[in-house]
Amino acid sequence: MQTTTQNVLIVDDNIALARVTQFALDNAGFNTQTAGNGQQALELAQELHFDIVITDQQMPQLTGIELCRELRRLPDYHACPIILLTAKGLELELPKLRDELGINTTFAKPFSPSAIVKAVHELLAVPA
Amino acid sequence: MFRIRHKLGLPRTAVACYLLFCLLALGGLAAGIFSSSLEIAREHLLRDLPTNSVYQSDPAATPDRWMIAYETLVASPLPLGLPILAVGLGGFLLARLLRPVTELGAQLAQLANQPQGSHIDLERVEVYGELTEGWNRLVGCLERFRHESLDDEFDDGLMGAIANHQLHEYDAILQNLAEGIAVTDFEGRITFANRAIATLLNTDPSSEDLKGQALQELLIQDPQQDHLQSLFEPAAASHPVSAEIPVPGDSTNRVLRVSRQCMQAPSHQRQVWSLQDITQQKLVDSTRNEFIETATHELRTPLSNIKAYVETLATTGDIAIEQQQEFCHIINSEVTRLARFVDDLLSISSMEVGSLSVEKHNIVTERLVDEVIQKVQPLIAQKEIHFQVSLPKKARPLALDKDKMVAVLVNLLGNAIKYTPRGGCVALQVCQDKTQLQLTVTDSGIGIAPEELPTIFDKFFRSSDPRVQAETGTGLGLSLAREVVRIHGGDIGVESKLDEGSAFTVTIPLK
Repeated sequence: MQTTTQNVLIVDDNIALARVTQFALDNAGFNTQTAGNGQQALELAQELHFDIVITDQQMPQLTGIELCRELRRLPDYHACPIILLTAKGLELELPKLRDELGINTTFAKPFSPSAIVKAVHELLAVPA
Repeated sequence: MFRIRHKLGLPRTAVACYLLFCLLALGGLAAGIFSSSLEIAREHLLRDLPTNSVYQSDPAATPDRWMIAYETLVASPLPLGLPILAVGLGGFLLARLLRPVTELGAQLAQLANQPQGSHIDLERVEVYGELTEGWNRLVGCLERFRHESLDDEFDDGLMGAIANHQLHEYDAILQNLAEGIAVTDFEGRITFANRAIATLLNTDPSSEDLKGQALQELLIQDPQQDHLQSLFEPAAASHPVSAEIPVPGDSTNRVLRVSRQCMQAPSHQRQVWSLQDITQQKLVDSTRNEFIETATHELRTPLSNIKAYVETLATTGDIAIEQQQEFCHIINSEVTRLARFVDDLLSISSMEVGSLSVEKHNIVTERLVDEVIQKVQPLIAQKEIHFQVSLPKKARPLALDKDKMVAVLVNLLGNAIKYTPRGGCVALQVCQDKTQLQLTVTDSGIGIAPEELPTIFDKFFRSSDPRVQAETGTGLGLSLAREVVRIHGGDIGVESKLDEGSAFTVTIPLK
C-alpha cells in the first residue's frame, strides 16, 4: 500500500456508499473524510484542506453542483479537482459542468469504487 | 291549378255541317208547312162548296191562316216538330262548342292585362287538334316555369333555415365548450368570446362584455412576462403559437395553455385563440415526474451500494472478517430495501386495480408486535431512540393478515423513527377489547404541518418540510398502510403538532 499525504473529501447523504468509497480510498493510501450533506462538506472544507473533493449530486440542503459553486468561491478550492457522482444522463452535461464549475469528471451511479480510486490517482497525478 | 276542365268533341267542320243541316231542316219545315197548309186550305174550301156552289171570293169565307197553321201543326206534329228540336239542340251544342274558345280568349286577355311579375292561373282545356296541343303545352310550360321558380324560392328558404339552425348549433357548441375560444381583430381586440373565456380569465364581465377589449391586456397582467410577448407578435401570426401562462389574478397557481392560430383569410389578420385550463394536467405531470424521480432514486441508491460493496469484497484481498460481515449486512439490508420498494410498487399497482387482498389467520398480538420490533430494532439502535411498547395483559388471537399488518406497523414505526431526532422518543401502544384493536404509534419527532395533514395518506405525497426531504422515501408507505387497514375494515387517524410530534392510530373493529 502506498501512503500519500493527500486528503480526499467524500460527500454523500448515502452514508453506506460514502463509507465504501472511503474504504476503497483508505485502502489506496489516501486520507479521507466524509460529510453527509453539502453544508457539512462546506464547513469541513473551510476547516481542513482537501486535495480532491468527491461529491454526490442529489443531496438535501445543498446539491453537489451548488457545493461546487460554493467551493469555487473559496481561494483554496479554486483549482481543486472535483468528481461528481450523479444520476445517469447528467454525464452528458459534463462539458458544460467542466466549463462552468471546473468539474473534472463525473461518475454515474452505480459506480465502481476501484474506478473512483483510479480517477483520483489520475487527477492527483499520483502513480498508481 | 287546374280548377276547370272543358271537354268538347266537335271539330270545326261539324259546326259547318250542322249549319247546313239546319238550313235544310228549316227548308224542309217550310215546305212541309206549305204543303200541309195547302191541303188543309183545300179541305176547307171543299167543305164550304155545297152552300156556295158558285165560288165567290168572299173574304169572310176565306179560311183563317192561323187556324190553318194550327191545324197543320196538329195534323203532322213529328215532321214539323223534329226539325225545330234539331235546330234548338244544335244551337245549344254550338254554344257549348264556343265556350272553351271564349274561355281561351278571356284567359289570354287576362294574361295580356296582368301586371308584370304577378301570377295568373291558366287552365288547361281538352279539345281535339292543334289547339289543345298548343294551348296545353303553353300552360304546361308556364306551370313548370312557375314550379321551378317556387322550388327555387322554397329551396332558398329551406337552405336559409338550415343554415340558420346550423349557425345556432355552432354557436351553442362554441358557447358550451370547456375550452375558452376567442377571436381577435387586427388590433388584438376581442370580436368573439365564448362563455368559458370569462371564467378562465377570472373576469367579472360576461363574454359579451369582453368584446372590444384587448386580449393581451386581459391575459398578461404582469408586464414582466416578456417571454410571452412572442404570443402576440403580428410577425409570427402566420403559424400557430402556444404558451403556458398563469391564470390572471388567480392565487391558486392555476395554469392556462394559450394557443393562437391565424384565421384562413390572412388579409383580415384575425386570430383564433383557445384557452385551456391545464392545472390538473400539470399536477398529474408533476406528480408523475416526482414519482419517477423518487422511484429512480429509490432503485439506484440500493443498487449503487450493493454494487460498490460486492465489488469491494470481491476485489480487495485483505479485509478483516468483522468488516466483511459488516459489508454483507449492508448488502443484505440494501437488497431488503429494494425488495420492499418493489413490493410497494406491486401493492400500489394492485391497489389501483382493486386486487389488493388480505389473507387472515388467527394471530396473537404479542407475536405480531415481536416481529415488528425485530424489524425496526436496528433503526432504533442506530438513532438511539427511546422506544416503549405497551401490550394488553390478556390478548386473544385475532384474525388478521399478519404480513400486511406487520408492514403497516413497520411503516408507521419506521416513519416515527425516521422523523424523530436522535435520542427522541417513540412508543407503540396496543389496546384490545371485545370490539376493536387499537394500535397507536407516537413520537416526539418533527411533526406534520396542519395544512399537510389532509394529504399525508395520498399516494406519492411527500412533505415539503426540508427535514422530510432530507430522508429517503417513496411517498407510498402511508397510502399503502391505510389501504391495508381499510381492507381489514378499519382506518388510520393522525394527530400531530409541528416540531412536537405525531400520533398515528390504527383502529380495526373485531367482529
